[in-house]
Amino acid sequence: MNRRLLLLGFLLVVIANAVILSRVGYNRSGVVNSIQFSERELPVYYSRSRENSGVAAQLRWQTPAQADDNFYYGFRRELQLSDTQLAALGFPPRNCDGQRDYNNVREERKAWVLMELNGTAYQNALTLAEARWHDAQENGDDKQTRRKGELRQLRYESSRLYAIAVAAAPETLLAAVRDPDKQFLVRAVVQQGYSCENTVWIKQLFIEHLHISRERLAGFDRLPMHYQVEVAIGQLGEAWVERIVPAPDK
Amino acid sequence: MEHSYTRAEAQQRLDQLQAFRAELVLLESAGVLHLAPEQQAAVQGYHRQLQQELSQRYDADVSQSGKRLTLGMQVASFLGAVALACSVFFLFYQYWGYFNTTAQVAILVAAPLLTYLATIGIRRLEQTGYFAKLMAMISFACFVLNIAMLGQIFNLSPTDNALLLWCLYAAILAYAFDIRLLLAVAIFCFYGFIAARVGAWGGMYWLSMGYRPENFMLPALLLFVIPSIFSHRPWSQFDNIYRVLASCGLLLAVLVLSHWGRASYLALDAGTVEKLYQVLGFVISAGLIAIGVKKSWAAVMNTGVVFFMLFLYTKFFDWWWQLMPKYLFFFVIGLTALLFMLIFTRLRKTLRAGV
Repeated sequence: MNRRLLLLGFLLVVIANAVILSRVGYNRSGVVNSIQFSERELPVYYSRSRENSGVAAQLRWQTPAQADDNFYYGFRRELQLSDTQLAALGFPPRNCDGQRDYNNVREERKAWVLMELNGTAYQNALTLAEARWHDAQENGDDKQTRRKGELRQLRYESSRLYAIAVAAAPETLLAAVRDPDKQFLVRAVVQQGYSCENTVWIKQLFIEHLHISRERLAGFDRLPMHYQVEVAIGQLGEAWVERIVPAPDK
Repeated sequence: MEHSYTRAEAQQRLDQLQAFRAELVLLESAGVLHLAPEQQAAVQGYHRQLQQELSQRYDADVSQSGKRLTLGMQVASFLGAVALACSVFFLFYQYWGYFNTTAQVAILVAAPLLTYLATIGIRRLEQTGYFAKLMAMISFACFVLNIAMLGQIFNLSPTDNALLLWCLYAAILAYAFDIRLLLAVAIFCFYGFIAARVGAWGGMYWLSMGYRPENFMLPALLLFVIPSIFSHRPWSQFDNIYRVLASCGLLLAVLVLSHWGRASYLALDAGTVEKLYQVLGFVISAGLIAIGVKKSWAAVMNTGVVFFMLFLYTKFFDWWWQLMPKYLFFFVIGLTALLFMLIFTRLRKTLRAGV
């Protein structure tokens, strides 16, 4: 057996772990943002499989709704950008003659996304949903029940977290932050949209799945129906669950 | 006698010795050759000593039943290693939620280190190396779990560096304990890492590496030349594994692009790209057959043959599946197989004439 090779193997494991744990330590040495989510934005789920005893929470979010779309259920991931914003992200100009371009591999970039919790984007979505319900009522059309359901869902169940802007560098977005308790930056992967209208598709936020440690769940036999999850975002943009508390009675 | 062998070479030497003995008996019974008693004694003494050394020092099998048992041990060792690695994985998943973060981290960091030390210890104690190989596989599974779960526990952004770490650890274990399976794992991780990095430079997120098959071509070429640059004689079959997995990686990328031209970096029409890669597929696989024949790399030649036929049959499918009745389509496939057999028969004759 080659002694040097054996030593190298041992050192690899030690160094890899040291680097990862140092990174975690550095990230958590300072809190850049601390946001309080409800179960609407960050539902905690226990694994359904008895093979996995871990507990995690998944961030539910969407991009602002447009007047002409039907995405009220939290699946909207597209953001409209200007030519300059698209170029700043490093995407080449599209050439698809106004048609949707499903044929080519769409480029992706790492970027920063400005998120807003229970802010203007949510209020706009509520206003839009109310207007659509009133329209349906006035026209007496067959969409009344659906529109009412959408509005109820938006008021009481859907996530109020919206991705409202995207940029290559955090500095660009920091200037747009008005309320640090409600707005924060996260890292993400964005992809050129299918349409040729300067849209980007937010493919993945880097804080979508958050592990919840046993310490954070101490004191709960089971979680109450309504609760608040305090999430901290560290120096490197990585997040962790700081605490979970029952929501105050309304 | 002081000659150094690998296990495969020792087994080959022992087989040669037994073939010589059998041939000698036939020669004597046919009256072609008679060794004097003192010559017979000298040969037998030398062979006895050599057989003892090869069997004890290199664990070479003296009998056919011994060889079959060795094969059985290899299969059992492989299955056991995979099953135990899975067991470690699921064991942690089943109970990790009941530990606090410190305990989770301590278990995750300690597991690969302890199993690594155990692998070294077992290798020193046992001669065959099967149990050490099994423990090395468990150690690798623990390291994969270590890195993946630390990422999950601390919500770290996924990174392709994990592939590099797994590649290095698998390669170290493979070279230290002569484990082919871990070399293959290291090669897959290497493919993933290089493809992810090249993809990221080309404007893709690393997890989307599969969208650009051309990213796998560079690592494939690198892997193919590695055994020609660095001798892998001390390790059993490592050169074959490099060449076969490199050939498969390259040809699979070409095969995908020959049907999915849109995924190419080439600034050409998708149809043109597909045709280009179809031609390239035939050229590369034929080239591999030629290199395999010339250099006596049987595994490379077989890989070339398999892919050549695969390219040919996919083209036949494109051209004729809709047009021909099925019996005729399969008849044509059968005829091409016969054609290949004729070509190989001619090749064998040419090779025999050259000997």
